[in-house]
Amino acid sequence: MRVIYSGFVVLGLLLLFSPQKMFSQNTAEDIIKHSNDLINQPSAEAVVKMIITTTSGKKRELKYKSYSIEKGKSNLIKYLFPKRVEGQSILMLNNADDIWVYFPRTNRVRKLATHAKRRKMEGSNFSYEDMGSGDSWVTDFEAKMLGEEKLRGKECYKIELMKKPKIESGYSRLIMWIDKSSYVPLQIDYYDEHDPKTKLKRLILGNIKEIDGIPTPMKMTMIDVQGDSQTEMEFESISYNVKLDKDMFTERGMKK
Amino acid sequence: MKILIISLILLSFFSVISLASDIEMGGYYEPQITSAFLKGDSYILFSNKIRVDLSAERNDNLIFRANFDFITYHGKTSWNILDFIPGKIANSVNTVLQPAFIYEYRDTVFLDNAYAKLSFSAFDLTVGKQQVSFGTGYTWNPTDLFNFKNSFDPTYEQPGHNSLRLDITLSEKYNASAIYFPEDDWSVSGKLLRFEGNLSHFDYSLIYAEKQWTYVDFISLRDINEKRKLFGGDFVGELFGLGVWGECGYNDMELGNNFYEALIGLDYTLKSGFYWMAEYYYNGFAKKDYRQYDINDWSRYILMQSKSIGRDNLSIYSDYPLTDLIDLENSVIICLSDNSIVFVPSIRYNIDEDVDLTVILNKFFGKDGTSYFETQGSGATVRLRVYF
Repeated sequence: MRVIYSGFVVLGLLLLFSPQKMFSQNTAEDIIKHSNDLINQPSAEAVVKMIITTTSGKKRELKYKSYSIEKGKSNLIKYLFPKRVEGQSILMLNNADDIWVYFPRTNRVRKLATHAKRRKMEGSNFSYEDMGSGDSWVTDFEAKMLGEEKLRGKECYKIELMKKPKIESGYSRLIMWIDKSSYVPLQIDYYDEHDPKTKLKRLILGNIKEIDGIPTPMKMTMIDVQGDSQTEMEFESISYNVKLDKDMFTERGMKK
Repeated sequence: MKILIISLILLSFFSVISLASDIEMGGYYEPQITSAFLKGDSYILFSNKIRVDLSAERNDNLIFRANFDFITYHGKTSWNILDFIPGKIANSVNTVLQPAFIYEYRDTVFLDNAYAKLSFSAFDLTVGKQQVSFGTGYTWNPTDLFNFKNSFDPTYEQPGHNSLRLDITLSEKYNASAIYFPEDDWSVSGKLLRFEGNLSHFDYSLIYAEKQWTYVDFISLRDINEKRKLFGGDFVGELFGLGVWGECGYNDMELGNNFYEALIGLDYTLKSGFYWMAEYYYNGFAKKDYRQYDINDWSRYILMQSKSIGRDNLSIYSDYPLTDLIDLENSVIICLSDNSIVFVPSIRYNIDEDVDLTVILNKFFGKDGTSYFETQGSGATVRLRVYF
């Protein structure tokens, strides 16, 4: 009897810690955390080219240098091109909850409130929130596994992220396709802040290369699914875990 | 002190000029048409401006920047200030004094900014002619003694001021700035001290500034000089999802009456990208009753020596991105003290990568004698800016 009872206990423990059970309880959050850690390295420095295709079909090219520390929680963007915006910089702290913009022509810094997170950055399809949200996938959203799907020939986890109550975000939910082998997100759909059924934008990530041992999508395209515009973002160079002075992420740092 | 600062500027200038091969050049060309259509008269002024920006960077610790402005004026270059003043007040000006109210736009070439910035881990030292502007307000800045914004076009760049500026990082959340604006001697030179901090999602600052304020008494046509001391502060942050900011300044005057100025602003961005903002500005220097406005009040306001003519002012601004390249903006400025309004709609169109077209219109609605009295008519500014 004791043996049978022990057998049940072992079986129960096995069931409790079986991969299936672990998958259903933790996997979505674990995957998101893994993917988030991959995208948001402790520090990074990059030169990025941005090509905006407007609704009228005109193209605009921008180039900027970006710096991030604290796993993407603090970000600094400095525009290099075109002349119209050269020297302009954007500082995003606390996952873009605090945003400052520096205008070199007037030598003024303007702080933007949280509602400005949803504003387009320099007319692109990327909002401030898209650029500086750091680990908000983990902190501001609840993850749920929707299943597995093949995308562009790669096996992916399909995960839904629902915005937690009282969180200020331009999106009510996200649906992500995350490559099972590398944990790199290959596609993200963004849904309306107040209507989780209305899709606003789709981000396609591609040209994945190993940089400093980290799989990195070198090209990202944000498509406005309700209009005809899109923005391509391409890393011209990127380095991870670089030494960046924290003083850079201040008003003084913005002006340098 | 002035000699010391000039020597520092020259020293910095020559140390950087030795790097001539590394100097980067940019700037913009800006043709502009400024017009005003008054009752029975019209003014159309054409201007061409070229701004040449120079920049040299030896390393992260030493930067030199300068810009030259070349401006030519054509068309109606002679503007009579009295045409923009209520008839009753304008007519009261003695005919002998009337030519003094003619403002001539003359072709000009000047060095707007030229400074060297030395950066160290704990502080930045900036020496030379540089833009110095503070305050969180958009349309008005009560804590800025050194600049006067055009409330119809508040984001236009401000001129440089010859000064010595020290910015110190005290800690991660606290900074301090000290600025000295040299004049003939220490007592009449401008001085500014500013302490800046951060509390949760709020930035705030405390400011002390003093300057020799020179303005014209348009009745006697004499320059008046008096020391003006400002004690003030500003903040910017967020409350109930709205952006909120404010400024307050107490002005201690050597000759005239002391006065307060205060500003409070709110803003919000809707889901559609529609942005709106409202600012209330109290100007204790201005009169409450429009029937007491005199030639001095009007002339100082038109020549941008005072920030508003009426005491209580409200500005409501909105911006809607019509397309990815076109922004529709509208500004309504209301003088609550005298119930007059001016509408300032504008369009900003990014024609090409480095080409912006801006059209700013204005239309006045108010009783004769009020801040925005109707017979001031309407006006337009058409500005093209081509960056190079």
